[in-house]
Amino acid sequence: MDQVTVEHLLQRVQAKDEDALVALHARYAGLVYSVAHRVLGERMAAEEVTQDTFMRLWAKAHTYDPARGEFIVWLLTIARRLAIDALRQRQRKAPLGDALSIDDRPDLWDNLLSTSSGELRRTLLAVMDSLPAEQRQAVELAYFYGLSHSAIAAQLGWPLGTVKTRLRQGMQRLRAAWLGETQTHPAGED
Amino acid sequence: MADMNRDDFLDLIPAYALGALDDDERAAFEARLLADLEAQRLLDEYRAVADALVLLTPAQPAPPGLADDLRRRLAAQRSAPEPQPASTRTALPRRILALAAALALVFGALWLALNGGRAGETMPPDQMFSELLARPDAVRVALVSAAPFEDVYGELIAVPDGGYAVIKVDCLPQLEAGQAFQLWLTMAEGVVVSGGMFYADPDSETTYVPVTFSQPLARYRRLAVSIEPQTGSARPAGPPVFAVPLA
Repeated sequence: MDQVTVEHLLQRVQAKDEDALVALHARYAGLVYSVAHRVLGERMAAEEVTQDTFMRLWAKAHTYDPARGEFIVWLLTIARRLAIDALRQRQRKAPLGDALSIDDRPDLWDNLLSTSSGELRRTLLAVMDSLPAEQRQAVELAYFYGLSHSAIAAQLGWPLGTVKTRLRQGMQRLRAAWLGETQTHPAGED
Repeated sequence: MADMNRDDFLDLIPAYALGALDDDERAAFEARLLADLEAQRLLDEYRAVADALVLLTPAQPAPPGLADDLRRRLAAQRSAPEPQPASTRTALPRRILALAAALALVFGALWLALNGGRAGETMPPDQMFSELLARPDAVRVALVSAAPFEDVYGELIAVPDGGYAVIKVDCLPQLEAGQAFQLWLTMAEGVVVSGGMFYADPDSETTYVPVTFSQPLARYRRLAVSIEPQTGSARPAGPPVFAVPLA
């Protein structure tokens, strides 16, 4: 499904065409669920966030701006935020452990990303794999669980300054990779 | 943070893009970010990086049955009664009018408030909101969105004897570099005063804005928010985002 098709479906969603929303759901619910489950770690809560994400899309489809990036990133960002909100409401503690140990079906990403985003994803995965474990853990706790510096320090038993340094260094390397990819494959290039 | 050199300030940008600054750090960081265009540009890059991190999510297939559930939710929404228009809430009891008039901040003061730094408060504003909700005497007033920001919605909740209130607002529009949201209070005689500046919570769909007031309640009839330059405006000049009718 190319971007033009997605935008056509979004226009139909804005016109309150339920079939269009269901079509988008059929295509992206797996990834939305994946993001929610990544944050919440449990099926029922992740299902709830998945559905909330699509109901949010139903209400706010007109707020998507193609100039700001791909639809899938926009949609999954909403899912992540809703999942973190749900995590905070449950006052659940973010799980420790290596997030990359979760079963990964990269094939489920196939055909859902533009060429440039697919390359970016592979590049960022490689950078994350190469980060020292502590930097990667700090980035994942901040991003996927919405933890602050002090919350990460409390959870991992690290000094606060160490958390700040590791988080900064990890993000600096990811930014360098992102800059390289966006210059090599500008947005919209497929 | 006043003693922090610029390199230390710039070093916080990646964490800010991830939403990882602690409350005290974030308030001070945002105050300094206002006047630093280079930092804002760098922040835009880190935010793009942060957005892209969602692509690293390990993928799983969705459980079965979600599509049918979605159709049921859509059907339920179709058959639900229409929500009461916000404008009907303008017929407010006198105590709400009196309360609303108390919403005043220091005239012309710059103030940033998100889920974090707030003058004199130690409780996060989302928690303040929840506590106010639990009060049987709390007063609630719906926001009225302004075109073209019709997707903005939320409410103000306040204590009836004045002192403080919290605005809960969803779907604030995205700002351009160099912009911020500015609160305005319209006094009974029509004079408009600034209530301070704030940004949307970058880590949530919902932003909680705590409001403190110290002026007589009867002096204010409306609260509004517009998009202004980060340094603030003397009077509303940018596009209005929403209003809270108080009279």
